[in-house]
Amino acid sequence: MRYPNEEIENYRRGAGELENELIDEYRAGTLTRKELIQRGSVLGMSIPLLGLLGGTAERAFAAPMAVGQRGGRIRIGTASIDASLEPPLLQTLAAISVTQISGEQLVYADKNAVLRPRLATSWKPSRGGRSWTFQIRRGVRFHDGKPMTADDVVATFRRLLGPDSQAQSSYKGVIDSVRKVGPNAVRFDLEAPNGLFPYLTGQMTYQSIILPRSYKMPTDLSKPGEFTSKMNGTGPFRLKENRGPGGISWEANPTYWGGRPALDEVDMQILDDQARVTALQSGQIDLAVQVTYEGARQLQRAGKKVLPIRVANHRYLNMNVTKEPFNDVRVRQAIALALDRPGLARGLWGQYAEVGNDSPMWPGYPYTAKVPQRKRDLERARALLRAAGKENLKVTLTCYRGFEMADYAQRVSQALRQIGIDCDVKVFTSVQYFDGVSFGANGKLAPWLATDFGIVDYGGRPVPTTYLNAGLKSGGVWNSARYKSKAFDRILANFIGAPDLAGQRKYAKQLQTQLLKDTPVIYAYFYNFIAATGANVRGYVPGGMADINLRGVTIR
Amino acid sequence: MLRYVLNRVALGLVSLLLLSMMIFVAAQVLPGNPGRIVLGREATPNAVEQFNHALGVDRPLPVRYADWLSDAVRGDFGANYTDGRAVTDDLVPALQRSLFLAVYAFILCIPISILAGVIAALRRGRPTDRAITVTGLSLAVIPEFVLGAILVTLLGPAFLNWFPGIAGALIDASFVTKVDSLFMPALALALVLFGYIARMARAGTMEALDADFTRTATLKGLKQRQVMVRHVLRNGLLPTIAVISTQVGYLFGGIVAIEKLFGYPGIGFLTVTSAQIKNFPMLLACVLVIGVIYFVATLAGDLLTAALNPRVRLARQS
Repeated sequence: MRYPNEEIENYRRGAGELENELIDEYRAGTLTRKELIQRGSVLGMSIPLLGLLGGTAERAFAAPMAVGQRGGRIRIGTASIDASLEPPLLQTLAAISVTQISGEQLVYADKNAVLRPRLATSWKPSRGGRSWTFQIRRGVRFHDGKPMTADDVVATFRRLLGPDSQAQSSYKGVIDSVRKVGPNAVRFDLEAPNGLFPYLTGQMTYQSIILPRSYKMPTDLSKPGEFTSKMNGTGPFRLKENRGPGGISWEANPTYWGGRPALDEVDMQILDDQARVTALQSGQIDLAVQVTYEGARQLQRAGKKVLPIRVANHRYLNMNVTKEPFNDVRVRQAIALALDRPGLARGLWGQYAEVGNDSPMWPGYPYTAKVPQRKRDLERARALLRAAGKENLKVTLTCYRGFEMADYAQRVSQALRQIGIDCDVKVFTSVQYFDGVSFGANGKLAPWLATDFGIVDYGGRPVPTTYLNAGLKSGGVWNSARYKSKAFDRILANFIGAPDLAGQRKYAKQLQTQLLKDTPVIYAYFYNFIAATGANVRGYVPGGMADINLRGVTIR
Repeated sequence: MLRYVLNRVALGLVSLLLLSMMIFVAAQVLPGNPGRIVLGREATPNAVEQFNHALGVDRPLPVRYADWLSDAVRGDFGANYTDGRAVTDDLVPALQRSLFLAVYAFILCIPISILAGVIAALRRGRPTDRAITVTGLSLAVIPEFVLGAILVTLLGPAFLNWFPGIAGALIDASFVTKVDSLFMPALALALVLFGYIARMARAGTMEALDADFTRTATLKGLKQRQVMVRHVLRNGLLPTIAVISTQVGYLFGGIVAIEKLFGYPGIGFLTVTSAQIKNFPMLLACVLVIGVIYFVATLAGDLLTAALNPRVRLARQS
């Protein structure tokens, strides 16, 4: 057996520049242990090695699943499946929650944003983070018994890089090409250096479930899609029956690469928000995938296990910077200054939210800098409006009916009245709001993007690349603020390409400052993803994107 | 009578045809592009166009309607937009669930409503009569989903915890579990019908009580119990029974909100869900099936009324 230092030094000799810099940073005391593990996992350093560096032995995640009490069936309540279940077409939370039970990505970001191996066993950057090579796990089989290979991984990503892919928000302008570079190795060449790239191959790009290369996108609606009817993934549970609105059931995959799951069966029921809460309270389900703040309070009173997970979930309140009256930065700043952020967070989510500061840099990210918090200042807001000559404004704020969004919109409207802005609220259904194309595609723009002043939800991602690239970068596919700033784009490129945490911190601070100055979007609060279970469920950790991870979950 | 039945069937078919046209046109003018719904917001217009072409939604409306109708009359309602599964795969079990709930609601409702109506008639003008009438009227004007929500709050897990708060799909559930889980939705539906059926029973009973044959039976010395059972109820409740069958259609209207509230994936649940997510093939099928149920129930009610009441039958024949 080697001594820890010998092990580390041996590793350093074969490691690249980025890994050695990280170790030096940690030893110099500029990184905490948590930051070391988080950042090291991105660079593909193994968890045991990071544990060794951090002074404690970390449990290897990819080892066979933790086994408590074996057997049993878990009953899950989730929302109506309102869109396609085919992985390349995934776009709604309910569909995401279903598909991640049978499907898997290359990596998995845990609740602390530490990357864990899944279908990739390790990953390494080269060319200064411009290329990333993933070693693909051997011995993995799809549910139909066929082996999963590097060819399947390449085919999956090439499909996702195609023009009709729903993964554009992650991959557009990021991946240049993907190819097989060895029997079990796949290399991604990127358009620019990207120190956070491995996250994009995990569950935050929920479409990146590895599928057989023979998989075909659905072209004929008279037949169920391949995944909908068979769910031929590599995950711990394989499809037993899809009863549509009657629910879906799965059975344990006995040949799962991580070991047979502890649960024998999974039974999913389609239930509305309140119905999920009532069902859990009555003991008719064991797990509610997501509950509202009100639901969480109700379940807490009933003695159920409420499981909030602190993630970067937020509401994006855009102002169209190219159009009156929002083309005047003073108007945007005045609107931002009218909001009582702590009051909004507390009123809408209670203890399950934290105050935002008008950038998507969530306080939980290790690189988020401390910049002065924007606070309500009605006098200054009125003065800005006076200076802009926009004292009697009339605006319409749009949102869709989902969770607290309509309530949030009403509160914003009331706040704006205090500075003399007459704000109407227009509430869409989710189907109406998302009916259309994103920026960059030809066709009718979806109302959530076409709006000049609107609210939309962003799921919790372990890194902010999608929020920044899709939502704020010039020409971003979800940039409904039409924000176009060369300074911001330059800082963003530097942030994403930064090889170390110090660099990320430096550029994150610049991003935050720039966004506070320009205020194209209001990020008033970040809220927890809240799941709930009965007392009989052990080991469940909710995923911030509504992904259901049942590995290691047991039921009594 | 046969001519009357044939007339009613023909009229019913015309009504169904009109209904199908209305819902088909309404479904087409609702915003939402099937290709875009399925392929998502990042799909290229070309892909969406190809998809819609394969689906046939780019053809003229009358052609699409004719195709849909010819398939629908053969029991083929197409496939869901969301997952491509056949509509009938979900529709048939949903219909079975809804029928179970409807029968349950009637079993809860009819004996109590008739009994209350008869008691009210016997105690005409007294506080009992007024209490039954006012309660019935009040329940009849409260929407089913409001009654359902009140029941969940009172009898569900949050307060008394006597019954499960939702029904769920009840896959592989035993009969007892089904009866237990569906008690509250069935009760909510039954309470709405209570007022109407009780009022009909009260009116019929009062009419029979005032009739000459009842006076004759009493004067010839029959016991009151015999008068009630042999003469009053037998004559007074016949129109009520006929009216009950017409309530089946009304019940299926109420089922839409109740099933959604209780998470019970019957045909009402499917109707609301498919409308929300613009799953037009399922929506069309559900509305048409509810229309057929309404038509059959109303026809059965009318025929029963005619069969039981010679005045109606003869008037129609003349």
